Amino acid sequence: MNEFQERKVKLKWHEPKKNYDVIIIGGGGHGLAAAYYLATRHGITNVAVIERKYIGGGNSGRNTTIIRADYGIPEAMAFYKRSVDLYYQLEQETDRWMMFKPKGMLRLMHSEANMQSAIKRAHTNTVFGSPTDILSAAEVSKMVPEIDMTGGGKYPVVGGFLHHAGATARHDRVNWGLAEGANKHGVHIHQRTAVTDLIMSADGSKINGVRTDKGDMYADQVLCAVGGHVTSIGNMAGLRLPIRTHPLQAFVTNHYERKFEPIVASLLLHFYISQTARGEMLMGAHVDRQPAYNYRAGYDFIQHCAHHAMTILPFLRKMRVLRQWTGLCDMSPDASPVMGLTPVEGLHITTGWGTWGFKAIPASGESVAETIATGKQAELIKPFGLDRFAKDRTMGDLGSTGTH
Amino acid sequence: MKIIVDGTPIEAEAGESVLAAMLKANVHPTGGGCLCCGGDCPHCLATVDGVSYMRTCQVHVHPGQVVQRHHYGQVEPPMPQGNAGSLDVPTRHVFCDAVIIGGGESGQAALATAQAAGQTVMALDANQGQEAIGIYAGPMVVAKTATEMLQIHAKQDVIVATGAAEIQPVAPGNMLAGIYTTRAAEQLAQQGVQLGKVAVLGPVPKNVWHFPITGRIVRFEGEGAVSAVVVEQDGVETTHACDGVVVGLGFHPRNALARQGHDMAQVRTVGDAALASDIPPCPVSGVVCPCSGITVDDLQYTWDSGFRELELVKRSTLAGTGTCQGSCCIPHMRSFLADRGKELQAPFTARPVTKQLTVEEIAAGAHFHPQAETALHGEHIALGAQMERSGSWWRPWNYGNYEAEYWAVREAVSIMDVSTLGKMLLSGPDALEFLQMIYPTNVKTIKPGRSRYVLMLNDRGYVFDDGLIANEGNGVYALTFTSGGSSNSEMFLRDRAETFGMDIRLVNRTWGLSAINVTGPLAKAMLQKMGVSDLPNWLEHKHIDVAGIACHAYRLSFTGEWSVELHHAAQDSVALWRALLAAGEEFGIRPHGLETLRTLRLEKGHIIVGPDTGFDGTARRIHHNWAVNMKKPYDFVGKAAIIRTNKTELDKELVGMTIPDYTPIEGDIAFVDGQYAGVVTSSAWSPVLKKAVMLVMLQYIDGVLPTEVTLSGHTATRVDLPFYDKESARARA
Amino acid sequence: MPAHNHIEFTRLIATRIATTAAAADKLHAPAGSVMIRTAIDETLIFPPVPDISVDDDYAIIIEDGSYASAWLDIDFALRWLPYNCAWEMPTVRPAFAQGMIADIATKLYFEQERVLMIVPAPYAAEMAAHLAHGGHA
Repeated sequence: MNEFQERKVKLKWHEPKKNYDVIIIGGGGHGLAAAYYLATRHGITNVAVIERKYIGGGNSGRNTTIIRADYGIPEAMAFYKRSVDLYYQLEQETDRWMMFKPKGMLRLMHSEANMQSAIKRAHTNTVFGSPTDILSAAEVSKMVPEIDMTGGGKYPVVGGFLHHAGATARHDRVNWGLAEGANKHGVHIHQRTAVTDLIMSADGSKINGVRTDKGDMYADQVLCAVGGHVTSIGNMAGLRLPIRTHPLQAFVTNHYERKFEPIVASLLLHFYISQTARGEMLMGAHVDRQPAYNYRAGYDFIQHCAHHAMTILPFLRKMRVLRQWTGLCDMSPDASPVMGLTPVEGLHITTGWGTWGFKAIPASGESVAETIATGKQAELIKPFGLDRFAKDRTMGDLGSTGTH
Repeated sequence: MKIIVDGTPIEAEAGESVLAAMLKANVHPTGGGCLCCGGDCPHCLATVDGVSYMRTCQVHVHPGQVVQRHHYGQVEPPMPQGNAGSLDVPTRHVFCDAVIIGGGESGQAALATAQAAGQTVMALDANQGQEAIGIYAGPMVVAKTATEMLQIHAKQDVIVATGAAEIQPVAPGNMLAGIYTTRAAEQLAQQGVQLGKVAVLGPVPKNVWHFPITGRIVRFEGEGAVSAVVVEQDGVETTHACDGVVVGLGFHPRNALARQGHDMAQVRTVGDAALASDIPPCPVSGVVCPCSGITVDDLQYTWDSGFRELELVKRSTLAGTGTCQGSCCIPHMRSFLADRGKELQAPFTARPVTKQLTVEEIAAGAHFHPQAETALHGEHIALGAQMERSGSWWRPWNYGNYEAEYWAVREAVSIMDVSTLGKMLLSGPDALEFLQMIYPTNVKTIKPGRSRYVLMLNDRGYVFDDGLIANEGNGVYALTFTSGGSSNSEMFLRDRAETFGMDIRLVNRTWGLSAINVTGPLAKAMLQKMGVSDLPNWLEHKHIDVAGIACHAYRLSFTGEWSVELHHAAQDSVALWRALLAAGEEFGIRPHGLETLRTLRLEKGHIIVGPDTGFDGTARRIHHNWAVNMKKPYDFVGKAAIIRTNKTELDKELVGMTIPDYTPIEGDIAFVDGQYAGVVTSSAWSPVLKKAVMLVMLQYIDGVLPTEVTLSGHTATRVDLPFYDKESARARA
Repeated sequence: MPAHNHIEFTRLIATRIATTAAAADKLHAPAGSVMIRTAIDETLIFPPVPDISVDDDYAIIIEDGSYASAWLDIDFALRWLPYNCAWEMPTVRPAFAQGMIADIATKLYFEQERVLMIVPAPYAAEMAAHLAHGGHA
């Protein structure tokens, strides 16, 4: 074995039943978290999570595992701060090691205007409860001596800001910890079960259950927590969702023998990098411009991401690239998530997770579970309802997503 | 020759692999494990010449080569030094009919066929140092050679002939030294490595001192290296003393590339790479995944814990995620899961990069986004400007003296390079109709010789750009856009013209037309002294000569002072700039940069699209309803959204606020009684008004727009815009 | 990879014509000038031909300095371009081709002995640096 092998989580599998109180479509982090919080916070345990492949196989098992709260609008800052707080307690609450590691997130600035925007963002985050410090160039260099402060002669590092809540966790372990936690309370998880249609009331105003390749299952409350194909599920309920799906890529090198903290990012150069628990250097950049549903990795992405990262961190030049992979990002028009009630009675959604889904898993799960349990949109996610687009209450937050 | 291994020189012979040289010196790169000599396993990895995780079986020796065996986590290694002087790896693009990956029998056969058919062919042979890295969309094959990276664009065929890897033995003791696959034993013997007398299970390698054994391997025995192997046949265990063991347990295809290209019609797999994998007997004991140290017992524990999908087993044990990316463990894991689950699961996803590259090799051929320079770039540098990346352009932030630049505009005369503005020319039978559909203003009322400030709205009614429409007469319009918006706006215009079926002609002149804004209370006098008598009136535009240079002059003002914007051919720009500076000397002229402009326009309450409008800036939120004509009989872009959103309650507005003695930062948060009330979008100390002025996107609280807010402990008061020269008497002068 | 640090771009003054595809198809450049069709609705002719007649009442005909250009020796070009273009070079002469080089929209006009490289004038300095560096810029 190795020190990172999962040794505690035990998963149980059940035969599908005909009736549940709640059916959750999608066994990724968001679906599992909703099940977990339904069971642990609301005592709702007659719940089925339906997964087309295996749990955590979509974006919640493909992301770059960064947890942070330094967003740009007050509603988002409150939401992500709640998520970070829940992450801090999740290991303890589940008694499972999720390799949660606070390490701070350092954003590098390369010009005067860059620095002004850093000051703005650091201030805003600090005001909303996520302490964020402005660092001078010397402080940046001291914190991460690997950085070439001349930026390859072209993108000098003039300073940065350090978001203290920045952290990483092992994505798979978060998914499994939530799955097991829900499982323990009696939640069913059905892998390799594909939803083929939704069972709607005659007039289409209410959802009654789901049709799957393993048979029909009924429930009054259905949560759509799928990634990548959420618009297909929406169509089954006659809902047109304002979502476009774009591939997002990441890659990892072999292990770097020194400890590398914090997470380092440059918005101007479009890359972010962190070290995994195993010591690998994990890098990502922005979403592919062209919407797509396939997982094919592009060469252009990895070339540019590698080039930008090694310009700032020259030690990477001789590191070996281990593998590259792709996730599918559901982008909403305002770069904020869409959660909670829909015009279809009993149908709930959690989507629009773009590139910020992993860090939101606990808060989304908690709020969506509350919405399902009470029938009322939870306070924290009131600004993030689907109805905001029609009501001109969009939550534009493109600047802080780091995806474009 | 000598190579250095862990600081000690050892003998090496030209042409042999680093692995062979090390084995001859009795140094095993990783201490043990079955060597394959095919680049498939992780047992010969070492750091070679500073690059870690090199497969030493695939690297030829050269004099002075430095090899370090891996020492995980023992001592923190020295900080890597920068590579400032290191040359980037080149990338070459190759266009051909077919690319053949693999130089073995099937690859050679495919090559002969392709050549006979008259195709132009690129053949890659890993044994010649040409490694295919991955198959990407196109299809494009990326490969690495000793000197460069290749991106091969094959028009007809991509033939994958990568052969098969040999299956590794899994049994107790399988991490001892002295275990080889059949092919490895043969290759090492050929390079002169003394293997001793080896026990051979399966096919017999050529030229190796050996004795054959049969049966199932129970375990390998020995201290550090194999001294005996125990096999079982018909229930009987036999121990064979030996110097090493050679195993031939079957093959599994090297099909990572084939799987990457599985849904591309041009990609075909031939030879052993196309075969189904041999599935070894279900392993009973021993190391399954050497990279992550996973044993059969670990797999059993994981199975018992409920992890049963191959992917979940991989993720929970990390088997298959190491350097060999599953080459050693996949056949055994599949066999194990088939035994327990009664179903043979497909191997996990093939992902680039199938052979390991360094980050700098991957980066080969990449570059930074280019940054554009205006025709006056050299002038700015010569004047000591601090240049700033502003979107895709370099622009002067200041010329070293913000205060002086500011007062030059307010009290004397100043010039600014505004060549970065988007500039287009439009004509065509449908030009006017088209503009009516694009812009929210009534374009028909802009008479020839007149111009008008305009907003650009998207379909959601949000402002995404602003600019100017100038009627040139004869159905021709000159349009301007923000500096960042020109290419986006051009796409928008062309896309909409096609959507609306409009017959127009459009030229984007941004690169060819420079523009200099001449501004300040003495600007007019200066121009008149230069002999310019026919200046346009406020909001008019004219073609005039300034300093003998043909200019399209627009009277408008962003600074709040008398201004004229002189658009002119970029090739004349330096001459015009110098002429203006020379003529302005007696008037106290001084050029100004973006930093000054931001304050000047803020004093006048002019918005900057983006920072001040945000993502959801509707005309009513930013107080620009005057720029939207809802009565004109056109369903212009954004109109439907405005009709819809105007029915909702207004939630926030962009307003002017001031503080007498404190300048908040841009982005500061406004509070009313501790409740969030908005955000400062622009903020500056106004030298002329001697107080801080700011634009705040202010929230309605219980239906009321606050008149006072707290910003970092200071009280800000709402005032009417603009802050400076309310009647715009100075601008219109 | 070859590099070249003696390339100087100069502003290319041309007649730029925006017109219908049909009218553009009928355009003829006078002898001694080069005409390239840069888009379905755009044509560039240099040296400029201000009095060219275009069969379109709405055509926009302007003298334009949007681009800068430099002649490359054909041998250097044919060695350098494969390292910098992810697109195939034409083999006939003369020929016009365009595409991205180092993220800069570049037009190439091939003659027997030389190639005219045309870039947006604001990016000429970046392209010159790219040529001098031999690849990355």
